[in-house]
Amino acid sequence: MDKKAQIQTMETILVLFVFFILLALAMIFYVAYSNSQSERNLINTMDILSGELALTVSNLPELHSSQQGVGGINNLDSYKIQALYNVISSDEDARLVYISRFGESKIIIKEIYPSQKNWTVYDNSPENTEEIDFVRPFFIPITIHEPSDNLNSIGKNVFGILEVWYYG
Amino acid sequence: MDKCKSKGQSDFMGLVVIVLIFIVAISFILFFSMRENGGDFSSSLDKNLHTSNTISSILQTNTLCRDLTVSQIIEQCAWTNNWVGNSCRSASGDSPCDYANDVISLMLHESLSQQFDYSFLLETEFSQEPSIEIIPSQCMGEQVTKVQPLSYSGGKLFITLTLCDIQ
Repeated sequence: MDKKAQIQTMETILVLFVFFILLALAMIFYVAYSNSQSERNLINTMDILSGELALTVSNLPELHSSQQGVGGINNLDSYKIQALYNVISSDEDARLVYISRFGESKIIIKEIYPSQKNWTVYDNSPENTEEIDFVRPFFIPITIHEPSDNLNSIGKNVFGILEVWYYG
Repeated sequence: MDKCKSKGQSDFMGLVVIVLIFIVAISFILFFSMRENGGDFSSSLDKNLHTSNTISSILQTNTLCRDLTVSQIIEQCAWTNNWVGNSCRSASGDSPCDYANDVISLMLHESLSQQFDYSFLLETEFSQEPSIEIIPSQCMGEQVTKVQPLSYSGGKLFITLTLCDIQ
Protein backbone atom coordinates (compact mmCIF):
# COMPACT_ATOMS: atom_id res chain seq x y z
CA MET A 1 0.00 0.00 0.00
CA ASP A 2 2.88 2.35 0.91
CA LYS A 3 4.60 1.55 -2.35
CA LYS A 4 1.46 2.33 -4.33
CA ALA A 5 1.08 5.68 -2.55
CA GLN A 6 4.74 6.47 -3.26
CA ILE A 7 4.24 5.71 -6.97
CA GLN A 8 1.16 7.94 -7.07
CA THR A 9 3.05 10.78 -5.36
CA MET A 10 5.90 10.39 -7.86
CA GLU A 11 3.35 10.45 -10.68
CA THR A 12 1.82 13.68 -9.34
CA ILE A 13 5.26 15.27 -8.97
CA LEU A 14 6.13 14.27 -12.54
CA VAL A 15 2.88 15.73 -13.89
CA LEU A 16 3.48 18.97 -11.97
CA PHE A 17 7.07 19.08 -13.24
CA VAL A 18 5.93 18.72 -16.86
CA PHE A 19 3.20 21.30 -16.27
CA PHE A 20 5.67 23.87 -14.91
CA ILE A 21 8.07 23.22 -17.77
CA LEU A 22 5.24 23.89 -20.23
CA LEU A 23 4.29 27.01 -18.29
CA ALA A 24 7.90 28.24 -18.34
CA LEU A 25 8.11 27.62 -22.10
CA ALA A 26 4.87 29.56 -22.63
CA MET A 27 6.21 32.43 -20.52
CA ILE A 28 9.49 32.50 -22.49
CA PHE A 29 7.56 32.51 -25.77
CA TYR A 30 5.29 35.30 -24.60
CA VAL A 31 8.13 37.49 -23.28
CA ALA A 32 10.14 37.01 -26.50
CA TYR A 33 7.07 37.78 -28.58
CA SER A 34 6.17 40.86 -26.56
CA ASN A 35 9.79 42.14 -26.77
CA SER A 36 9.92 41.70 -30.54
CA GLN A 37 6.49 43.33 -30.83
CA SER A 38 7.55 46.42 -28.86
CA GLU A 39 10.76 46.67 -30.90
CA ARG A 40 8.68 46.43 -34.07
CA ASN A 41 6.32 49.12 -32.81
CA LEU A 42 9.28 51.36 -32.01
CA ILE A 43 10.73 50.88 -35.51
CA ASN A 44 7.31 51.58 -37.06
CA THR A 45 6.88 54.73 -34.99
CA MET A 46 10.35 55.95 -35.91
CA ASP A 47 9.63 55.22 -39.59
CA ILE A 48 6.42 57.24 -39.45
CA LEU A 49 8.16 60.13 -37.67
CA SER A 50 11.00 60.06 -40.22
CA GLY A 51 8.46 60.12 -43.04
CA GLU A 52 6.62 62.99 -41.40
CA LEU A 53 9.86 64.96 -41.03
CA ALA A 54 10.84 64.20 -44.64
CA LEU A 55 7.48 65.51 -45.85
CA THR A 56 7.84 68.62 -43.67
CA VAL A 57 11.31 69.30 -45.10
CA SER A 58 10.24 68.70 -48.71
CA ASN A 59 7.46 71.28 -48.26
CA LEU A 60 9.50 73.77 -46.26
CA PRO A 61 9.12 77.31 -47.75
CA GLU A 62 12.82 77.87 -46.97
CA LEU A 63 13.71 75.13 -49.46
CA HIS A 64 10.78 74.88 -51.83
CA SER A 65 11.36 76.03 -55.37
CA SER A 66 8.93 78.38 -57.06
CA GLN A 67 8.73 80.21 -60.35
CA GLN A 68 6.79 83.46 -60.41
CA GLY A 69 5.21 82.51 -57.11
CA VAL A 70 4.08 79.08 -58.25
CA GLY A 71 5.72 76.20 -56.41
CA GLY A 72 6.80 73.03 -58.21
CA ILE A 73 5.90 69.51 -57.09
CA ASN A 74 8.59 67.90 -54.89
CA ASN A 75 10.90 70.59 -56.14
CA LEU A 76 13.64 72.14 -53.99
CA ASP A 77 15.80 75.09 -54.93
CA SER A 78 19.56 74.49 -54.89
CA TYR A 79 20.30 78.13 -53.90
CA LYS A 80 17.85 77.87 -51.00
CA ILE A 81 19.42 74.59 -49.89
CA GLN A 82 22.83 76.25 -49.77
CA ALA A 83 21.37 79.32 -48.03
CA LEU A 84 19.62 77.25 -45.36
CA TYR A 85 22.80 75.27 -44.75
CA ASN A 86 24.77 78.53 -44.35
CA VAL A 87 22.20 79.97 -41.92
CA ILE A 88 21.97 76.83 -39.77
CA SER A 89 25.73 76.36 -39.59
CA SER A 90 26.61 79.99 -38.85
CA ASP A 91 23.71 81.46 -36.86
CA GLU A 92 23.22 79.91 -33.42
CA ASP A 93 19.73 81.43 -32.92
CA ALA A 94 18.55 80.06 -36.26
CA ARG A 95 20.05 76.70 -35.37
CA LEU A 96 18.02 76.64 -32.14
CA VAL A 97 14.82 77.35 -34.10
CA TYR A 98 15.50 74.38 -36.38
CA ILE A 99 16.48 72.14 -33.46
CA SER A 100 13.03 72.74 -31.96
CA ARG A 101 11.48 71.79 -35.33
CA PHE A 102 13.63 68.87 -36.47
CA GLY A 103 14.84 67.52 -33.11
CA GLU A 104 17.64 64.96 -33.15
CA SER A 105 17.91 64.19 -36.83
CA LYS A 106 20.08 64.42 -39.89
CA ILE A 107 18.83 65.80 -43.20
CA ILE A 108 20.82 65.15 -46.35
CA ILE A 109 19.90 66.18 -49.90
CA LYS A 110 21.63 64.17 -52.61
CA GLU A 111 21.76 64.95 -56.30
CA ILE A 112 21.78 61.69 -58.29
CA TYR A 113 21.37 62.67 -61.95
CA PRO A 114 23.06 64.07 -64.00
CA SER A 115 25.92 64.66 -61.54
CA GLN A 116 26.32 63.53 -57.93
CA LYS A 117 26.43 66.02 -55.07
CA ASN A 118 25.52 65.97 -51.37
CA TRP A 119 24.28 68.69 -49.05
CA THR A 120 24.00 67.96 -45.33
CA VAL A 121 21.45 70.66 -44.58
CA TYR A 122 20.97 69.84 -40.90
CA ASP A 123 22.87 67.54 -38.58
CA ASN A 124 21.88 67.17 -34.95
CA SER A 125 22.60 63.45 -34.56
CA PRO A 126 23.24 62.01 -31.09
CA GLU A 127 26.84 61.14 -30.30
CA ASN A 128 26.58 57.36 -30.39
CA THR A 129 24.52 56.73 -33.52
CA GLU A 130 26.03 53.24 -33.90
CA GLU A 131 24.17 52.14 -30.76
CA ILE A 132 20.79 53.24 -32.15
CA ASP A 133 20.29 50.38 -34.56
CA PHE A 134 16.50 50.76 -34.90
CA VAL A 135 16.74 54.02 -36.85
CA ARG A 136 16.53 53.61 -40.60
CA PRO A 137 16.92 56.40 -43.14
CA PHE A 138 13.80 57.60 -44.94
CA PHE A 139 14.23 58.56 -48.60
CA ILE A 140 12.01 60.68 -50.80
CA PRO A 141 12.82 61.18 -54.48
CA ILE A 142 12.81 64.89 -55.29
CA THR A 143 13.73 67.34 -58.02
CA ILE A 144 16.31 70.01 -57.31
CA HIS A 145 15.92 73.19 -59.32
CA GLU A 146 19.14 74.89 -60.38
CA PRO A 147 18.26 78.50 -61.19
CA SER A 148 19.31 80.20 -64.41
CA ASP A 149 22.97 80.88 -65.14
CA ASN A 150 25.02 81.93 -68.19
CA LEU A 151 24.58 78.51 -69.83
CA ASN A 152 20.93 77.97 -69.09
CA SER A 153 18.60 80.96 -69.11
CA ILE A 154 15.58 79.29 -67.49
CA GLY A 155 17.39 77.02 -65.09
CA LYS A 156 17.05 73.26 -64.98
CA ASN A 157 15.82 70.45 -62.77
CA VAL A 158 18.06 67.65 -61.58
CA PHE A 159 16.98 64.40 -59.92
CA GLY A 160 17.86 63.68 -56.32
CA ILE A 161 16.74 62.20 -53.03
CA LEU A 162 15.98 63.67 -49.65
CA GLU A 163 17.41 61.44 -46.92
CA VAL A 164 16.20 61.84 -43.35
CA TRP A 165 17.57 60.08 -40.25
CA TYR A 166 15.29 60.70 -37.28
CA TYR A 167 16.57 59.80 -33.79
CA GLY A 168 13.82 61.34 -31.69
CA MET B 1 -12.81 -4.96 -14.46
CA ASP B 2 -14.71 -1.81 -13.39
CA LYS B 3 -11.49 -0.36 -11.95
CA CYS B 4 -9.76 -0.98 -15.28
CA LYS B 5 -12.61 0.69 -17.20
CA SER B 6 -12.53 3.75 -14.92
CA LYS B 7 -8.70 4.04 -15.36
CA GLY B 8 -9.12 3.87 -19.14
CA GLN B 9 -11.75 6.60 -18.99
CA SER B 10 -9.56 8.92 -16.91
CA ASP B 11 -6.60 8.29 -19.27
CA PHE B 12 -8.84 9.21 -22.20
CA MET B 13 -9.98 12.38 -20.39
CA GLY B 14 -6.31 13.31 -19.81
CA LEU B 15 -5.63 12.89 -23.52
CA VAL B 16 -8.62 15.08 -24.39
CA VAL B 17 -7.38 17.79 -21.97
CA ILE B 18 -3.88 17.69 -23.56
CA VAL B 19 -5.35 17.98 -27.06
CA LEU B 20 -7.53 20.91 -25.93
CA ILE B 21 -4.53 22.71 -24.41
CA PHE B 22 -2.59 22.08 -27.62
CA ILE B 23 -5.42 23.53 -29.76
CA VAL B 24 -5.69 26.62 -27.52
CA ALA B 25 -1.89 27.16 -27.74
CA ILE B 26 -1.91 26.83 -31.54
CA SER B 27 -4.84 29.28 -31.79
CA PHE B 28 -2.90 31.79 -29.67
CA ILE B 29 0.17 31.51 -31.88
CA LEU B 30 -1.93 31.82 -35.04
CA PHE B 31 -3.83 34.81 -33.65
CA PHE B 32 -0.64 36.70 -32.77
CA SER B 33 1.19 35.86 -35.97
CA MET B 34 -1.78 36.84 -38.15
CA ARG B 35 -2.22 40.08 -36.26
CA GLU B 36 1.46 40.85 -36.85
CA ASN B 37 1.04 40.49 -40.62
CA GLY B 38 -2.22 42.42 -40.55
CA GLY B 39 -1.49 45.93 -41.74
CA ASP B 40 1.89 47.56 -41.93
CA PHE B 41 0.76 51.15 -42.26
CA SER B 42 4.17 52.78 -42.46
CA SER B 43 5.37 50.38 -45.18
CA SER B 44 2.29 51.06 -47.28
CA LEU B 45 2.59 54.83 -46.75
CA ASP B 46 6.26 54.62 -47.67
CA LYS B 47 5.53 52.84 -50.96
CA ASN B 48 2.64 55.16 -51.87
CA LEU B 49 4.78 58.21 -51.24
CA HIS B 50 7.67 56.81 -53.24
CA THR B 51 5.62 55.82 -56.29
CA SER B 52 3.98 59.22 -56.74
CA ASN B 53 7.12 61.23 -55.88
CA THR B 54 9.38 59.14 -58.08
CA ILE B 55 7.19 59.51 -61.17
CA SER B 56 6.69 63.27 -60.77
CA SER B 57 10.39 63.86 -60.01
CA ILE B 58 11.60 61.78 -62.95
CA LEU B 59 9.25 63.47 -65.40
CA GLN B 60 10.36 67.00 -64.59
CA THR B 61 14.11 66.26 -64.58
CA ASN B 62 16.19 67.85 -67.34
CA THR B 63 18.49 65.35 -69.06
CA LEU B 64 21.93 65.89 -70.60
CA CYS B 65 20.30 65.63 -74.03
CA ARG B 66 19.87 69.31 -74.98
CA ASP B 67 18.35 69.88 -71.50
CA LEU B 68 15.15 68.14 -72.62
CA THR B 69 13.02 66.93 -69.74
CA VAL B 70 12.38 63.21 -69.34
CA SER B 71 8.70 63.80 -70.12
CA GLN B 72 9.64 65.48 -73.45
CA ILE B 73 11.85 62.52 -74.40
CA ILE B 74 9.12 60.07 -73.37
CA GLU B 75 6.65 61.90 -75.65
CA GLN B 76 9.07 61.59 -78.58
CA CYS B 77 9.56 57.91 -77.70
CA ALA B 78 5.82 57.24 -77.66
CA TRP B 79 5.07 59.28 -80.80
CA THR B 80 7.47 58.10 -83.57
CA ASN B 81 10.54 57.04 -81.61
CA ASN B 82 12.56 59.47 -83.74
CA TRP B 83 14.32 62.52 -82.40
CA VAL B 84 12.79 65.92 -83.04
CA GLY B 85 15.93 68.01 -83.68
CA ASN B 86 19.43 66.75 -82.97
CA SER B 87 19.63 63.18 -81.76
CA CYS B 88 21.32 62.01 -78.58
CA ARG B 89 23.13 58.74 -78.04
CA SER B 90 23.00 56.52 -75.00
CA ALA B 91 24.58 53.19 -74.10
CA SER B 92 21.54 51.22 -75.33
CA GLY B 93 21.11 52.94 -78.70
CA ASP B 94 20.21 56.07 -80.67
CA SER B 95 16.43 56.33 -80.28
CA PRO B 96 14.50 58.45 -77.74
CA CYS B 97 13.16 55.23 -76.15
CA ASP B 98 16.71 53.90 -75.66
CA TYR B 99 17.81 57.22 -74.18
CA ALA B 100 14.80 57.46 -71.85
CA ASN B 101 15.25 53.82 -70.84
CA ASP B 102 18.88 54.41 -69.80
CA VAL B 103 18.19 57.64 -67.92
CA ILE B 104 15.12 56.28 -66.06
CA SER B 105 16.91 53.00 -65.21
CA LEU B 106 19.76 54.96 -63.66
CA MET B 107 17.44 57.17 -61.60
CA LEU B 108 15.32 54.25 -60.39
CA HIS B 109 18.36 52.19 -59.51
CA GLU B 110 20.01 55.00 -57.54
CA SER B 111 16.87 56.08 -55.69
CA LEU B 112 14.86 52.88 -55.10
CA SER B 113 16.97 49.74 -55.40
CA GLN B 114 18.15 49.79 -51.77
CA GLN B 115 14.61 49.75 -50.41
CA PHE B 116 12.30 48.23 -53.01
CA ASP B 117 11.95 45.89 -55.93
CA TYR B 118 10.32 47.79 -58.76
CA SER B 119 9.08 47.72 -62.31
CA PHE B 120 8.54 50.62 -64.72
CA LEU B 121 6.43 50.52 -67.88
CA LEU B 122 5.65 53.10 -70.54
CA GLU B 123 2.65 52.18 -72.69
CA THR B 124 0.54 54.05 -75.22
CA GLU B 125 -3.18 53.57 -75.64
CA PHE B 126 -2.76 52.00 -79.10
CA SER B 127 0.27 49.70 -78.83
CA GLN B 128 0.18 46.24 -77.29
CA GLU B 129 3.88 46.21 -76.40
CA PRO B 130 5.29 48.66 -73.85
CA SER B 131 7.65 51.26 -75.37
CA ILE B 132 9.85 51.14 -72.27
CA GLU B 133 10.01 48.19 -69.90
CA ILE B 134 12.34 48.24 -66.90
CA ILE B 135 11.99 45.16 -64.69
CA PRO B 136 15.23 44.47 -62.77
CA SER B 137 13.58 41.83 -60.54
CA GLN B 138 10.16 40.23 -60.22
CA CYS B 139 7.90 41.91 -57.67
CA MET B 140 6.79 39.59 -54.85
CA GLY B 141 4.69 40.37 -51.77
CA GLU B 142 2.66 43.50 -51.16
CA GLN B 143 2.74 45.84 -54.16
CA VAL B 144 1.81 49.46 -54.72
CA THR B 145 1.22 50.57 -58.31
CA LYS B 146 0.74 54.07 -59.62
CA VAL B 147 -0.33 54.87 -63.16
CA GLN B 148 0.38 58.37 -64.46
CA PRO B 149 -1.38 59.29 -67.72
CA LEU B 150 0.17 61.93 -70.01
CA SER B 151 -1.08 63.51 -73.20
CA TYR B 152 1.17 63.61 -76.27
CA SER B 153 0.74 64.37 -79.99
CA GLY B 154 -0.47 60.84 -80.75
CA GLY B 155 -2.96 60.46 -77.90
CA LYS B 156 -2.37 59.28 -74.35
CA LEU B 157 0.53 57.45 -72.79
CA PHE B 158 0.62 55.69 -69.43
CA ILE B 159 3.52 55.46 -67.05
CA THR B 160 3.20 52.60 -64.56
CA LEU B 161 5.51 52.29 -61.58
CA THR B 162 5.14 49.31 -59.23
CA LEU B 163 6.99 49.05 -55.94
CA CYS B 164 7.16 46.07 -53.62
CA ASP B 165 9.19 44.98 -50.63
CA ILE B 166 12.67 43.79 -51.39
CA GLN B 167 12.99 39.97 -51.14
